[in-house]
Parts: sequence; C-alpha cells; structure tokens
Amino acid sequence: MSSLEKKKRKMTTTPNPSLLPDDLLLCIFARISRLYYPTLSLVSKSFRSLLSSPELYETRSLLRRPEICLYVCLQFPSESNPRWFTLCPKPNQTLSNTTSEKKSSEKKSSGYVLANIPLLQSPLSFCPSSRVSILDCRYHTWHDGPSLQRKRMLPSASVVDGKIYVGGYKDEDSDTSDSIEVLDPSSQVWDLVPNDYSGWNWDLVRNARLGMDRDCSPSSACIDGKFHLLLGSKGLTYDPKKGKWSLLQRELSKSWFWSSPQCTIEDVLYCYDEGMVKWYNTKFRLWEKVKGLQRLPTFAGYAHVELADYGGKMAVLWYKYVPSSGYKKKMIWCAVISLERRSSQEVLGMVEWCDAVLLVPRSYEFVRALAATV
Amino acid sequence: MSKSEKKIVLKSLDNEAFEVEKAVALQSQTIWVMCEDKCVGNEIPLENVTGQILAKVIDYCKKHAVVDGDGDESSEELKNWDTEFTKNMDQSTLFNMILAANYLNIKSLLNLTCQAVADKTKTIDEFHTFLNIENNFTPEEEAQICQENLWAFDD
Repeated sequence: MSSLEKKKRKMTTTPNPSLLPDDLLLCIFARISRLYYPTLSLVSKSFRSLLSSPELYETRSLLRRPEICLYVCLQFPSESNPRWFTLCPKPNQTLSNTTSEKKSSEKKSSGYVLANIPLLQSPLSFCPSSRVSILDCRYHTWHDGPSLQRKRMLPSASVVDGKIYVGGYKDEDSDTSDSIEVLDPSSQVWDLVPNDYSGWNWDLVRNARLGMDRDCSPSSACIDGKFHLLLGSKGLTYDPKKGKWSLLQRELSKSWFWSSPQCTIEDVLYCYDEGMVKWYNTKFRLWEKVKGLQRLPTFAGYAHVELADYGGKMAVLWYKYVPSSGYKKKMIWCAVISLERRSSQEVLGMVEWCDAVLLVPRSYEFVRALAATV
Repeated sequence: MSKSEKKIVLKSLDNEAFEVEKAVALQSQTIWVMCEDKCVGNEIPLENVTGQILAKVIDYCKKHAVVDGDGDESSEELKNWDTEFTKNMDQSTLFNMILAANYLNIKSLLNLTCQAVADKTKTIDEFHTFLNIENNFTPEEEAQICQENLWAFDD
C-alpha cells in the first residue's frame, strides 16, 4: 500500500523538529479514548491514516487499554438495513467540527449520546442462511465469517467458555439431529453438535409456525457454562463439558422469561420483568430482584427495554415518547448499573448514570443492544 | 570506585554541561549503550536535547533513580510527583520532552509525557498548534469525512 510506504519513509527520516514522528503520535493516540478518533481524524490527512492503522490497535493492546463499547441496533421501517449506533461520552463543543452548533443547542444534559455508525450493509436476514457476518468494531466494517454448516433462520448465539454456540430453525429439508453448531474462534470452523436427546420431537420444532415476532424467534442464553436454547415453546440445555442435552430447568423455561429483555453478566442471568430487574439464582433455582435500583425510573408499558452486558455492568435502554413533538418522536434513554454480588441470595445494583441519549422518529424499533471490548 | 567514576557529564545541544550520578544518567538506554560501548569518555554529548529540556529530564531521572539509602520513596508518592511534574508544563515543553525521552530512550518518561499530551490535548485546534500541523484537507474532503462521522443528532 502506498500510504503505508509513505508512513514508513516518514518514520525513518529525521523528523522535522516541529513534528512528532508517527510512532510517537501512535503512543499519544493509543492513550486517547477511541471515541475521539472520528474528530481527531479531521486534524490532517496523516492523522486520519494513522487513526485507522492496525499499528494503532497493536499499540493500544500493548498498553492494555481496551475500551468497552455499547452498540445499539435500530430498525427504521422505510430502510431495509438496520442502523447501528454506539454509546459515547458527549463530546465537548471544542472537540466537534461543523456540526457543533447543532449539537450544543440540542440538549442540556451532560453525559452520553448515541452516535450513528456509518455501516454500509448490516445483514439481518429472515431467510434461512448459513452466512455469518462479523462486525470489526475497530473500523466499523462487516466481514464474512466462516459459514454455518446448515442454513438457519433467525439464529440465536451465545458464548460459552470462549466458544460461540448458535441455535436456530433450520432449512426444512435438512435432518433434525443437528440442532446447534459451535465455533471455536481459533479454528474458525463450525462443528455440528449432535443431539441425542430423545425426549423431544424436533419435527415439532421444525414445523412450528414461524412469525417474525420476538416470541417465536429462537432465544439462547448462557449460564453455568451451559448453553440454553428456546425454540418455539420448548427449551433445551446443552452442557459442553459432559456433551449432554437435557430439558431446560422449569424456572428457565417459563415463557415470560424468554419474552423479557435479558442478558448474562459474569455468568449471572438477568432479565427485566414487571418493572423489576431480576437475576436468576441457579443454586435455589429462583428469580430474585436486584436490590438498590430505586433510582431507575419506571418504564412505560410500551417501552421496549433492552439489557446488555456493559463490561461487567448492566446497560439498560428504553424509550419514551416525546409529548412536545406531538408523540411523533421518541427519546431513547440509557442507564448504566454497576452490580455487586453480595451473597448467594443478594445482588445489589447501583445506577451510575441515567440519561436521554438519542432522539428518533417514533417508527424506529430497537433490534438489539450489545457491547464489545475494543 | 573513585568519586569521578560515579559521575558523568551530559552536554546539551547548546553546550550546557550537567554533572550527574551515573546511576541517574543510566536510566537512559541511549546513554547506557554509549557507556557500554566505551566510545565516549566521561562527557556525553547529546545533540538532540537543549539544556532547558535536559535539566527537566535530569530532574525526572534523579527522582526515579534507585540510589542506595534513597529507595524508600513509595510508588504513590512517585506517582503524585509525576503528575505534578507534567502538570504545569506548557505544550511546547511537553512536546520536546517526548522527543527527548524518545531519543534518550527512557521508557517511563515517554509513557508519562505521552499520557500528559493525551490528557491535555483534545481539540482539533490544540493539535494543529501543538504539533504545528496544517489542515491539509480540502473543504470537500472535510465535508465528506464529516458526513461519514456524522453524529446522530442531525435529524
């Protein structure tokens, strides 16, 4: 690449005393939050190319400065592709460029905003497919990952011990013994997980009427090193260590749970139900209320709530209609909750902050919220 | 060991001479290599560092040197000292400190000064003046990048 060659040449020549060589600039950039990178890339062309170089991310990882980034995926009805947003501290006005006036007049609240990420294609397919797409959070680009062995519709994935498990309705024609697949990121090959559990009729699942609504979509969750999968109204658990299938625990197979917002944080399963954040006590097989969340507002019944693991904390997203817009717009709110496991029977939460983060037209729908460490 | 062997003279670009303990100077890998090679006498010329900057580098090295009987500085204290050290430096001093730390190969000082710049320099204008960088985007290119980086509030 010519730009790389140029960079190399610049590094080896004696630097102009008023210019830092690229390797030193990288040392500085690596210490700046990457949320500032879009703005810094406006400083000059060389900045822009440095800020998108793999060397920068190598330096960051050497410094052990990973950052946790929350991504929110929203669907706009008139668009075929969903839009992705990332949560970032609201940049101060001096840091912004031509759009600063708009931003400063927009809102008084300090704190955080959701910023639109320009992504060309955001694959979300309702057709059975074996295609796997990977979002590179460094550059916000999609790549094709290794293909699934079977075509699946609306697959749901969870991570167990560093391996990715995917379950989902298959193509009608394929046989039914291979309900899930597992990817070891180091091998980059999907393996079918044989299902020898005889107490369940997979044909029923296959023939289940599929709607696009959440209730019918396959869901999965991981706790205790096991992969839990709900297909239709039936749930199964796969234990990778023993290689065994079993029926989902009674408390976990309740439909209210699977239709509620949920996430797993540090091997504890959380869900939002009846105005409460609850956690699943695996020892006593009970749902318990997370204590200490009085500061969390009560959400309206219509508000679609999403929970996400935000680097060991919980991010809660929901929306409220904005009356001043004639209910034509809704405001997406976000709260971040730190969690402390007090005892075998108590999880204490603390609302670290809670703020309006993005104003959207009312027809937007949440698709997903998730976090990545970059 | 005689007293003179424990001392070393560092000479700056503008011919300022600093006599320092060897243990202090040897935190610089560059000086360490020079001494190992025995290609220099007791006086080491440092052609890329001015006296003003070298004096500050020596201050830092003195503080961080592990000298006999002087090693009970707690890491907490050292950290506070580091913060104070860079706190009141202006941008051009910091800038030259980075270059000096890089040239002299003092890793901890390079980390400290890079962090200080990262903490202090956040605006585009600051980067332009600090690094003496020209904005070489055409207005069209700038608009294009703004478009790509568009924040979400422009409904």
